[in-house]
Amino acid sequence: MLQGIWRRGRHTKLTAFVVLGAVALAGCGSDSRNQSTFEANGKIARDDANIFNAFFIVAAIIGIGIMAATVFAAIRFRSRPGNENPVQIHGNTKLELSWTIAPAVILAIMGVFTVKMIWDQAAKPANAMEITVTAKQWWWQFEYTKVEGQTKQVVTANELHIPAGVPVWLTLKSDNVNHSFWIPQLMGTKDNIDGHVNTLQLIADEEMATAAEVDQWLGGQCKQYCGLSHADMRVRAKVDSKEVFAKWYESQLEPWTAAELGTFKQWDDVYACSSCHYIQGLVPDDDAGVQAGSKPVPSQRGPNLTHLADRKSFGSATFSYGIESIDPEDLTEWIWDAQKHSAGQDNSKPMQCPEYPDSTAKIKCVGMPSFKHDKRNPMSRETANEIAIFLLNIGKKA
Amino acid sequence: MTTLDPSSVLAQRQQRLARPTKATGWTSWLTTVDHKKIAILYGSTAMVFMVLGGVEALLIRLQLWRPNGTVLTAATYNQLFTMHGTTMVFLVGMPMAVAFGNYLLPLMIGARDVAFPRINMLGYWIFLLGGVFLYSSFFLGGAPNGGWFGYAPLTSMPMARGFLPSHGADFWAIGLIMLGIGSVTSAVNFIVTTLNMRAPGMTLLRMPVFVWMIFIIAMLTLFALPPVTAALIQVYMDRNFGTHFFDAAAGGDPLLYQHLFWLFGHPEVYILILPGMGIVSEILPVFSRKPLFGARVVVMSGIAIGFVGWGVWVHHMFATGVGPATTTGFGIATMAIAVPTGVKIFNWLGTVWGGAVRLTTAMLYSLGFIAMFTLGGLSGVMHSIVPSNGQQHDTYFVVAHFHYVLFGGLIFAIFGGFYYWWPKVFGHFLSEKMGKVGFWLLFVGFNLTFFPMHIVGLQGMPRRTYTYGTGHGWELMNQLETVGGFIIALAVLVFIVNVVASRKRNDLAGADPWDGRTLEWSIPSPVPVYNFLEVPEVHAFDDFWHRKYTEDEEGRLVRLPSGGSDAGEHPEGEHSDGSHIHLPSPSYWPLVFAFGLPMSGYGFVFKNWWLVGVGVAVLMFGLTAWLVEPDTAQDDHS
Repeated sequence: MLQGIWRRGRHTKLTAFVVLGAVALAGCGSDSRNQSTFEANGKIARDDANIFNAFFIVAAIIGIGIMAATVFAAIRFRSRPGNENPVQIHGNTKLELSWTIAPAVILAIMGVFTVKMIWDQAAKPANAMEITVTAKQWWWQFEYTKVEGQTKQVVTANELHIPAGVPVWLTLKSDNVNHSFWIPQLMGTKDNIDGHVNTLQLIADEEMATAAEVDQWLGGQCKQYCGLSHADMRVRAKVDSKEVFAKWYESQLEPWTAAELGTFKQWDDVYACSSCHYIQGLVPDDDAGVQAGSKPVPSQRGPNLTHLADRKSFGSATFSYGIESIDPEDLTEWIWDAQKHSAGQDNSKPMQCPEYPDSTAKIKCVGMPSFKHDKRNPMSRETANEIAIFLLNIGKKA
Repeated sequence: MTTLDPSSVLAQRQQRLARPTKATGWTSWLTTVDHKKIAILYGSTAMVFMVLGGVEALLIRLQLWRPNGTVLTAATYNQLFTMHGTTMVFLVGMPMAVAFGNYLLPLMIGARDVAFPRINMLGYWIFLLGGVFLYSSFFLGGAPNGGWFGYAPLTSMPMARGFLPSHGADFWAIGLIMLGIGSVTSAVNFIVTTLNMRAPGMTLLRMPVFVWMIFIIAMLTLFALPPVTAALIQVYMDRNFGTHFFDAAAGGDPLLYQHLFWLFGHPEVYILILPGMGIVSEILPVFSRKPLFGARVVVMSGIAIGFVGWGVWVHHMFATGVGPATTTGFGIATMAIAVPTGVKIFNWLGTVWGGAVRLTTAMLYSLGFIAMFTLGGLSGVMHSIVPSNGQQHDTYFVVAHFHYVLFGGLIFAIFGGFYYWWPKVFGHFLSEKMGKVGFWLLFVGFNLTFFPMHIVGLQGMPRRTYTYGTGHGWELMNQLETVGGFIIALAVLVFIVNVVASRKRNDLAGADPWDGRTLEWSIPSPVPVYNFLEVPEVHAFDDFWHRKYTEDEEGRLVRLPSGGSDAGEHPEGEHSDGSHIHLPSPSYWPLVFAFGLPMSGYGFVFKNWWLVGVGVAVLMFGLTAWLVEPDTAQDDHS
């Protein structure tokens, strides 16, 4: 019996290799979120992958060579009766020199390609679209500061819309702790650090313009540990044709109607929504300033909620993730008890908002508060549901 | 006018501050200054912390078993990954090196103890109490949760701002400052011991490679800890006293922290790995029955790593936007450091090549070290390609990389070292059979845990995330990793069982069971308290080997007729039991001194200035008593 298994060993090993290979491939292929670096949908990401693959092959050959030599030496030179006293070799200058120089040469070649690419990627492309990415705790704010054919600036959050084939120049900022902005299939990561202005270029492939919608959505997430909900600080990019992008861009400039603002007021008076979230239409002067680029976004503790209805996810691209509209039930839960959902299952103490909701005082709050647990005006689930349905129908009633 | 009689002052001091004399029993472990006992304390304590850090890792693996896992909350997860890293670096890796260094360095250079025996003991107590201090935070409002790297401004924001709402970051900053003091004491001790206490004829280039590596890491420790200590004090001040070192809004700079941390952090990587390289450089020649190939080159490449290691810290910061000129420079430096590292690997292979290889457990671990460390080194070089680094940075690819270096490297070497030197330290063998079972379990478990991390990292999974969503295709890799993690746990369990069982079986080893090359094998096992009855005179590298063997014209080994261990061949006479050898007397005061540190540490964390005062008073009392206690115990040299 035992012997049988032993003899079958060789085939088992072969099968195991095939299975492992297949598994690895399957693993790479099943990425419906488009976050794997095994695939590239932009020039920078492709360059990164190419230089990585080239030197991965070199490294793999060296690695397998050394490991094979280790195993070979251990078996071939096993101590046997008669060879217990091997020839004593203390060293060999020629060998020492060659295994110093050979790796140095390989590394020098690697260095030349690396340095060239470092400088290429650091240069700002001509005629680039410019977007400022500000990392928040825990979400992303996008301000489109220079878009060809547009005079007004759009402010949005967490879902980055870009046209295919157009070079984009990102300016990365943070007004709190360190974060890192990363959309693997477009470009490698760069940190958002308070007090520093970092830049990053990307250019999505032309072909993305005509891809299926599900393939136009690319995943990413914050890569620098930024506290409790670091894992939930995700981001998405939507690559569109230039026409679709322009249409989207113009829609984002629209303010809420007077009727919508009226409905909103009943909740805003109680829960002070607009002290954290920017709502276009609330203060027309602010909108004009923001769109002209002369005023900062008025409320930016939380994302701009004006066009939440157009987004495909919320909570920093973590919840209701898909390409359909946001699920009102999910959003209801979030508005009602966000801390529970953003911090895993722990709503005991991690994110505290000690002074909330006194909107006249400076609100100290990390992450979205739980209105369910609000001391003065605990929110009912019904209210949360009404707000959710209201937000998801903006611009759709007409 | 009264005159002070010096001898009566001495007598008074000897009465009031008499030094302890007990050399046996459990209380002797509290006051010992014997480098061998202190080494055993270091090793066993680090082993306990290794188990704690391992349990934290297993909990992490359970949480990541499936998407949206519910085993741990985000708050708990963040504490566990922070403590796992902090534990493995500061409470396992560094103290294990000190354990091996403490035991072996004096023996390998023919010394009777380290240069500063009481400071040696102080270092241990600071390590133990510092570790307990850090772990007590779990019961005092929450453990550190800012990562082992503790990036400001996350860690340096005042607690009331709610970014890290617990005293965890204070515990972390104060705890690491404390552990740093301990590390510096042992570094100073190793440096002075190496430079001043070598036996006659033990020139620097005749020192075993392991001694060299310990010497280099002691130098690195000495210069690496000041910047991080400064950074930790700044973090503490920012958090508690409204300073703005890292607060950009007030003119500070968050990036300053990263420079200070990695200026320590990268040499720290070499502090962790060089002792492992030293250990395998001792084991490979013994079980190949060949001298270390290019021994001087191995030493020189270690020194080269020690120097170039100071010029690569920004490769941890390629994503911080330091600019193309800086990333170019540090990228090239990072590639350059691969050269001396590669040289070592080739020399180890050259040592085994053409030898007479005995596949003992220690040898298996050393060969495993070569293979695994090579993989970790190669994935490390991949990171110097700055553009693609932007993709792998802070993903599981990096987690895989440094576990191949520090686990496949350091931990494999440590286990190899255990099996190799256990007979010397405790007099009996560890079971080779269980050792080999343990090795293969560890080897399989290790690769099953960490190899898939390369893949899942390239698939876009970032590190330090308490959860991940469905649809990424990360499930299978994570499940393999979790299974591997438990196999590692089983391997560690086998080792612990082996330790207990072997102690019971007591398979005596004798002075020189492996046919060793270095001086520690020339004295009895376990090593007598005085180490060497007569201080040896050294004539060559691998001196003990050359007392046993010579080479014929073809370079083949020839055993010398009367060569071998002189253990047990004590010169006849009244002092053949070593009772004439003067050894440093035990002392209470390192322990008292050390207790002052965590006391004031708790005071600093909770801003209780009374407690700080009491801690400082205890510390000063210990220090004063230390200074005025008699040089020797009363009955010594009477």
